[in-house]
Amino acid sequence: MSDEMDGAPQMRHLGLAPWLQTAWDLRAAGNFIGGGSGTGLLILVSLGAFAGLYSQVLLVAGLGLVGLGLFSVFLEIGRPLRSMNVLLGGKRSWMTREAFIAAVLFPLGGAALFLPDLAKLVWIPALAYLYCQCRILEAAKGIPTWRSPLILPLILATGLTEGAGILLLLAPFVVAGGAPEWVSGTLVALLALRLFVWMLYRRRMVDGGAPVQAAAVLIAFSGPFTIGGNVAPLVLLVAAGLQPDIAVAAMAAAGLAAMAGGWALKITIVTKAAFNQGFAIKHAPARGSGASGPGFKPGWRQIDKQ
Amino acid sequence: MTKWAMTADLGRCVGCQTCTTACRHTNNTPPGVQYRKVLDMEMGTFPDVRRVFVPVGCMHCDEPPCRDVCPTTATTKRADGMVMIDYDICIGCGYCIIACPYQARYKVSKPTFAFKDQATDNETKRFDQRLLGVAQKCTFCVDRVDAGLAKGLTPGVDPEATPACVNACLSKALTFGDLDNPDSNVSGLLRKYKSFRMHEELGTGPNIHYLWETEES
Repeated sequence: MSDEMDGAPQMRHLGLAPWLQTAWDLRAAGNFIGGGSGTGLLILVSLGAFAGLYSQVLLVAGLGLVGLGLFSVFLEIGRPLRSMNVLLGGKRSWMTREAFIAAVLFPLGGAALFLPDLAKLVWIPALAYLYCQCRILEAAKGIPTWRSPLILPLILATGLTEGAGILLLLAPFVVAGGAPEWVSGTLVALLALRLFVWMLYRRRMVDGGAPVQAAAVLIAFSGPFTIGGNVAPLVLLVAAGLQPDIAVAAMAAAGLAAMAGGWALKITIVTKAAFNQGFAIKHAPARGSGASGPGFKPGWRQIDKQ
Repeated sequence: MTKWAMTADLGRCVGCQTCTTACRHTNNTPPGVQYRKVLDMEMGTFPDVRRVFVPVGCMHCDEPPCRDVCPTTATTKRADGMVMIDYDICIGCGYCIIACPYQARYKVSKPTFAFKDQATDNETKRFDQRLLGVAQKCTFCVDRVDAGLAKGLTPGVDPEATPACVNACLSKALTFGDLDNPDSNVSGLLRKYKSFRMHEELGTGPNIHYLWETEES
């Protein structure tokens, strides 16, 4: 293989141990970032509508984030002129279902800009959209860090956390009187949930659920994510409760940190810890007069026992 | 019913990559795209070391995850078990590439040739624009199989109806045939020898069977 070809995506298929997938890059991560944060925000704004919260700016922000995510993934496909074919696979594909739900979410969200009562319904397609994103990752059997059943609660929790963070960040600017009191409490609960699920997920991946290199990426990410993306916003929220004079700034900073932590999590999972399955044999063959031997699963901590 | 499958005798394969070459010639694949390739595995520690050659490619799974995730229905599974891609429908989203646990799928966005920018006459003649920007993979040489069947030939027995990699295998490590036919070559081999399938625990039902103990005991 020539050195010039080494960097081309299709040339990275010659190893034995799992290698980092190259089919989805930051553009695909952008879909999970925009879709997760956008729908998380829309869900909270929609549910907040039952308590009197209504902001056209927040609705536009939520829809805009989802739209940016979809545009981001549009940039990744090889044949963009055929992009509407994405609607053909509803029988099996969660990607198609995501597109179907987007076709409900945008008109409904748009109508809610003019008919405030409709805002109370937006959480339904927003939650369904977020669920589809979870299932998109879970269905990728070739990527051990994605196919884990724990990816579903993790992506769900971080989407809602990011949404609560953005709500706390934007509310001082767009909601009269700032963020409602329940938002910071919700963010505390969601941060705790996200952290709990993350710890379970990380543990399962490190305990043999993922290739060694993928586990190493998650281990390296865990500290900064735990402290910067979860503990720091919790501390800021506590500080906001103790010091009313810095409350607005501290809550906004907490929201920003919670959001940024979620974005970093998705970038890490989609583009850095996305090592594929690699190759393995269950038995080494008997060759010539020799005897057969044990299997081989390079890049993993342990091999399946037979 | 018919269910096409392949066996790869790990005790016979010598890692010559003739199957790889035959596949690339037959399918005119660009540099780096290898529908069929042979892994060179070295395992153990000195002095107890082994070297095993493992042919891999699309496993034409019973429950192909690539088909399940495809948002366009471009990836389908035929009644005879072959997993196919409709290049005219595929949007090249890459989801199937990620879903495949056998790393069997490729996407090439621009023309690439064996000698850099200059296509050979053969590459020029056989260049297929439809393959740019979409997923591609091993087809079990479906055109050869179908054409052979139309002539009354038996895939896996008659070379004209058999995948190129199997025809090319100089150690007879690769065998192709109908798994649903108890009298077929692959059924006979699987009855006679011990076998396993790669990543079977993922529930994909792969259809390349690896024979690992082929000597009579």
